[in-house]
Amino acid sequence: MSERKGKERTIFWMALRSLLAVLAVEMLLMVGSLVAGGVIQTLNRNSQDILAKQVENRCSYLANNMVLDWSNLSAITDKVNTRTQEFLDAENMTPEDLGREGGSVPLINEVCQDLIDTMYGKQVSGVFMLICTEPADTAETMQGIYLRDLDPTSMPSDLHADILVERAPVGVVRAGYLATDTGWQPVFSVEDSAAQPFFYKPYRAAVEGKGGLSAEACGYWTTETYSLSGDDREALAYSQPLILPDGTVYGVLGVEVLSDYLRTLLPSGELLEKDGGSYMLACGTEEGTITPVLLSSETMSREMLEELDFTFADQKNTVMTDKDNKYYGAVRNIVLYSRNAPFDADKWYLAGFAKRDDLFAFSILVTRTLMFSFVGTILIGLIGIFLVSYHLSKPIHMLSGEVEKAKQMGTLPSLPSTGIREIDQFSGAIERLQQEVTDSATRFMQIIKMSSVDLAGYELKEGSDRVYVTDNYFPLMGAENVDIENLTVDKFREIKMEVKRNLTARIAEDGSTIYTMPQENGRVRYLRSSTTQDGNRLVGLLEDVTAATMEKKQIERERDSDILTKLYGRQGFRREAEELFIQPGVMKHAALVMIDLDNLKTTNDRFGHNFGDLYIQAAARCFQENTPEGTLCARMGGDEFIILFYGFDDREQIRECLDRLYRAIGEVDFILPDGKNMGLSASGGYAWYPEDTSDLSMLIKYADFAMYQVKRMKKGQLREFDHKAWEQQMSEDQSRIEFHQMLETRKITYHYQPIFRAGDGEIFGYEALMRVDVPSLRNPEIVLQIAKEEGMMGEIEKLTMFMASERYVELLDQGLVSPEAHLFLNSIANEDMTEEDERQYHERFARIQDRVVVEITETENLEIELIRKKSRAEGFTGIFALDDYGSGYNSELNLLALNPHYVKVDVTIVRDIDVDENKQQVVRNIVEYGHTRDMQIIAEGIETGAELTKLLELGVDLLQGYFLARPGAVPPALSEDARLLLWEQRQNS
Amino acid sequence: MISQKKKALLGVLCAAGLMAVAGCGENTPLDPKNPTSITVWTYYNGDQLSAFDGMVEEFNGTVGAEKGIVVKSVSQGSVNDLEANVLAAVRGEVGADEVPNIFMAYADTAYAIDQMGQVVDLKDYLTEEEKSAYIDSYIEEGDFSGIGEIKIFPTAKSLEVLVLNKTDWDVFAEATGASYDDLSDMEGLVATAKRYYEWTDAQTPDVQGDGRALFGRDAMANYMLIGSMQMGQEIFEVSDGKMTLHFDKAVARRLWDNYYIPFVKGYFAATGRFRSDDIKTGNIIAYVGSTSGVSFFPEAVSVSDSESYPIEMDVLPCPKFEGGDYAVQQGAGMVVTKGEEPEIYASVEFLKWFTADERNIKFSVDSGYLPVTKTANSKEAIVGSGAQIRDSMLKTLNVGVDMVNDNEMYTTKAFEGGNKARNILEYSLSDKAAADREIVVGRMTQGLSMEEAAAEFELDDNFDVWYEETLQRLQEFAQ
Repeated sequence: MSERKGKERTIFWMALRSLLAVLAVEMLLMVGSLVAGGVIQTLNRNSQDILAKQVENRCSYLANNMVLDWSNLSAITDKVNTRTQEFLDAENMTPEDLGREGGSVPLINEVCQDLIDTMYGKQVSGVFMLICTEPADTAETMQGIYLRDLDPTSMPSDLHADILVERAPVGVVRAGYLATDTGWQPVFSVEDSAAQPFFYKPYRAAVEGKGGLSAEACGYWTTETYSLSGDDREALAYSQPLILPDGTVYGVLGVEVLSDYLRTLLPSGELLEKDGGSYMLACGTEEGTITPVLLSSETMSREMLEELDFTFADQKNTVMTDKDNKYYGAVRNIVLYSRNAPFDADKWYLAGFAKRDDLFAFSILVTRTLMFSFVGTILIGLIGIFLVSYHLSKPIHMLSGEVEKAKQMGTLPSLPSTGIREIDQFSGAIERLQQEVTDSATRFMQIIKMSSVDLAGYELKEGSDRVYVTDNYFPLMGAENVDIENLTVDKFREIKMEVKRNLTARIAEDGSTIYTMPQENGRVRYLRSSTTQDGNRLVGLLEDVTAATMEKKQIERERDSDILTKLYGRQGFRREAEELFIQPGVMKHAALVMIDLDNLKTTNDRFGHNFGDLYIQAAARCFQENTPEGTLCARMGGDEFIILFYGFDDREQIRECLDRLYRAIGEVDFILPDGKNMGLSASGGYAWYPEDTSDLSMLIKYADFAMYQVKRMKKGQLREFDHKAWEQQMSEDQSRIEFHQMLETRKITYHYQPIFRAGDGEIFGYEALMRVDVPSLRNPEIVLQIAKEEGMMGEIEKLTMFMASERYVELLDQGLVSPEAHLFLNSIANEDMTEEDERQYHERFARIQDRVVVEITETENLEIELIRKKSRAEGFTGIFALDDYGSGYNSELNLLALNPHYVKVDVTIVRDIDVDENKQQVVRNIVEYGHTRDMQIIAEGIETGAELTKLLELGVDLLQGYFLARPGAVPPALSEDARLLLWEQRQNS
Repeated sequence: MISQKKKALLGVLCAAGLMAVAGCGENTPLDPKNPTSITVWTYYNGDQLSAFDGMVEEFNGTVGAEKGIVVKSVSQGSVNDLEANVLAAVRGEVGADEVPNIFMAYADTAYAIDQMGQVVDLKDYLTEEEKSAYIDSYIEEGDFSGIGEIKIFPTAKSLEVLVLNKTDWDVFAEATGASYDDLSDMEGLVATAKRYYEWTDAQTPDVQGDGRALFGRDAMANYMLIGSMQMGQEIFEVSDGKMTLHFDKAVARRLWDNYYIPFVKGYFAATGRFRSDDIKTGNIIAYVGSTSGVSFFPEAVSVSDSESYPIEMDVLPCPKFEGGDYAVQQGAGMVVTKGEEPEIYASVEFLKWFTADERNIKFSVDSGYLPVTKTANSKEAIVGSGAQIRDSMLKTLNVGVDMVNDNEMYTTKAFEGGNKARNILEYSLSDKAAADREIVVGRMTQGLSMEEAAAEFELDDNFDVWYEETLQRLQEFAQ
């Protein structure tokens, strides 16, 4: 329905996606607000706080009971102590007597009611009094009484009905006012004090305190529950020692709290809203261990508790956790003992704890509820989104199905009503539009059919395999019987390529392609093909442009042809040739000939231009008549013609044609106005297509080059292009270009090679040597060669004089060359600087001028006059050196003419002089000659020690060469080898 | 537009979902997630209490957790404390606890609380089948008005048996030829006790009058009430909560002769708080007491703080007066108080669970009570239950079950002041006996023989005075 860039989407997906996005955002918002709001954490913290508060309250309640009430035994102990003292006094007994069997019965009967009252009053589950006069841990049995009230919170019963006797002497039981429990025994036995005797510790504390501690201070709470032998009820007890006024410790009195009773005082149900909380009374040490003493729980058994190992989770010992961190507990300290009391080290705690799951049940419920609604919302949302998207897209999907169906049937779609007004209006509009488009297309097709021009076209659509092609498209292309009804894109392309392969094509100025299609009748049909890309639609148009093309060609030909000869002019030739060059199949083997009429200038001069024109016309006619039909002949202007032979199978055929043409040229007999006969003479050069090149411009250049070679050497000839000659020419041209660049950019430097005195090996001077920094001109001789050819020797001379001196001065200033040394400068013998230059040179280099030696290189003919002029230059000492002595060029003559101060023996003489007798003789001669005339002999190019030895032996004065020192931008010192050798020589002589 | 519609739809669905999540309300009286907590008050002590608490724990951990019931057991220590606390709670006295959902009570207390309109009639909570499973007389105990109501749920019953220090008895029996048969009726018991006194007195020929008592008795009211029944007379005849007194002089005389006379003579004794205490200190070697007290029977006798010897026990049926085959039915039932429907429902659920055969037997063997259902109340059922039974308890239950089956179980019906009336029976005879015995002992220490010292109390006048006084006191409660 709509074509868009990018991925195509269905309405269903678009709706689905947007709605999903909305849903996602809502969900994120919901989760985000929960997380950011910290609701869960707050709820959890509240739960912890409530737990802690509850524990705190319960703790203070319990502490109240344990400390203020149960532990406060001073009233009863005072009373018992008093009664005991009275009893002992009255009966004249010792405390030890009390411990004997039956000894304490009267006393117990006497204090029994007080004990019972204490038990009732304190609402404890038991009270006990033991008589121990020997160490409690060694006594086998002990007298005493232990009473229990199993319902301590109830009102005291008449006749002590709710009191059971656990321990009391028979005499007390027989008294009949107390009922015995099943586990009753007359005395306290060893078993009662088995694990952690509830009475032992306070007793020992008092005994060890030796009266220094009060009974209260020795008070002790058992840190483990105990049970009496024969009884399985567990209990905690608080006991204090009984101390007579004289300090005798004679027993222990205490209260007992049954574990079951204590549990009722620790209602774990109050901890959490729902059950699950537990109270734990625990005893700990300073180190932070927690040892459970008593558990009050509705949900946990003692075994479960024992599996847990609680530790404090904070510094203040107010929070505890088990090692799996499944439980959380709030802990409060119960201060049972006074500071520094004997049992102060026992730290008592009350902990309220619960599984984290139970403690945080509310937040878990909230989380779970939210999760459920979250998931529910998502699920319902997803289903809803799916349904809505489906129902929304269904009518559109149906419409699009109808359209697709109609497309397959090739009919106009009839769009059913969807029941959605907007969509129905839309589809109605489309139907109408479709009809209108069809109508106008039909009309347009008829107009095209009626037009005089053959028009054909096709349309390709991206993503569709169908091709729309007009009926006449393939016939126009020359392909018959193509089934355009069932044409796929690939098939269409294949046929099109096949047809095109046989057609020559060229690109027109407007970018369209012009196909040339030969017809059976020998004519040519021109087809113009153009394509337009419109979005994802490719439209191709094929147009028969034969008439227009022919007409245009005619006009072009007329425009491009030379008026004088009726041949193609330069333009025409180029156009025609270019057309041919893109068709190698047509070109096959070809030759391009450049021809220049030899005598046109003289003819024009002698007989005037009119006659010259006739001469040209005759030549043109000759060329036309003596070349095969179709050969492209053109006049390039003036007396220049160009002929392109093409379409030959081999070069021999062309050569034959060329021979025939030149024979014909030779046969032309032209009668001059003065009545004389004149032959046609034309110099020509040709080059081969494709052997020399396939490029038209190059081919013309090559042929032109060949022709000019003819013109330079012997006119009237026809010559084949010579690639080597061309290359050489080109190379020379290149060197020349670079030579000029070199001069312009001064890409020249000078190196200095030291010249040593043969006598002491000291530096005598330096020869400045040119170094060129251009690839093709590394060799200075080539530079000189080119300079000579280009007439630039003067420039080189000046360059050398100035630059070599300039650099030398720099070296001198830097102390890199010896100030005593001479500077040898190579001068071109036959070149001279202008007087202005000489003056400038003097101005700049006067300081070194008296040390400059001008080396004159031998040339063919040394112009002594010029050299004289050189020696007259301002400030010049006139000292010359004759270079390359012995290399040829009338050496002796030059020597005589120049009469130099220094003679440099050429390297060719020096090389291998140690073995060559002849060379030795030459040197011997020049040395003899020079020494008699005050000349110094320099041997240059010394490369071996043997050469040096021989030269010294021969008596040369100065030495130069690689063996001694190479040239350098900064001249190096004498080489080690040479120094040694020279030293040896001096020693020998 | 679409999006808004969509949102609206989403909103509705979300709300529906949330409501489904949030609305967890069920229309049943119990909710396992939100358990109903009920409180039970008992007067249990010792073994009974541990047995009962064990049961409660088991219930909470299993059926309770399943159905959503949490039972809390609170022992008030003694029957009297329980009664006082229940009354205080129901009356709303200052400092009193909340009224428990279930409390243990004898008929009298239950009746008193029922009169205050606080007791639930459980008949609607039990099917006929369920009702008929319980021993008839136990169910009838809670039918105060005689119209088939159930105001007391029977959970455990006890009766009186004769408990014997077999070790010492065997020595005596060996020496004198006494047998258990001699202990089957009251007159036989008294005669045997006389023989025992004389035999023990003879053990120390040089000391006169140091004979020991054979027998003692707890619960004197039971002695009076059941003895009278056996003799054909119901002392408190109750109809519609009204008591008619039948305290016949002849019957009273026989009761007198079989307790007071042997007591003052030292054949019978009661010095410890309970007779089991007397057994422990070697005061007596046999006593009549509740089956539920058997667990207090000691394994050893401590004659002094340092001397003790192990004893065996044996259980015999309670000696009777020749006449009717009546046995005392005692042991309180459970009374359910009025409250929220789930609480009542939960209470009944617990009681039904508690009295199901298997558990009832288990509780019985642990506590010395007798099972309350017909099927559980048989030796076979008890032995076959697989419960671990102590030897002493097995003896007790064997005798107890036979007694239940062989006798008509009797308990006084509730009536206004019944408890006080009962207390008159409890103490008037025994207190007099104890006081007079002290005089006899005093006289004996002054050198009189036992016969001489006791002669004064054997006179008819002594009886007449006591009888008239007691009758007068009892008549105050008759209507």
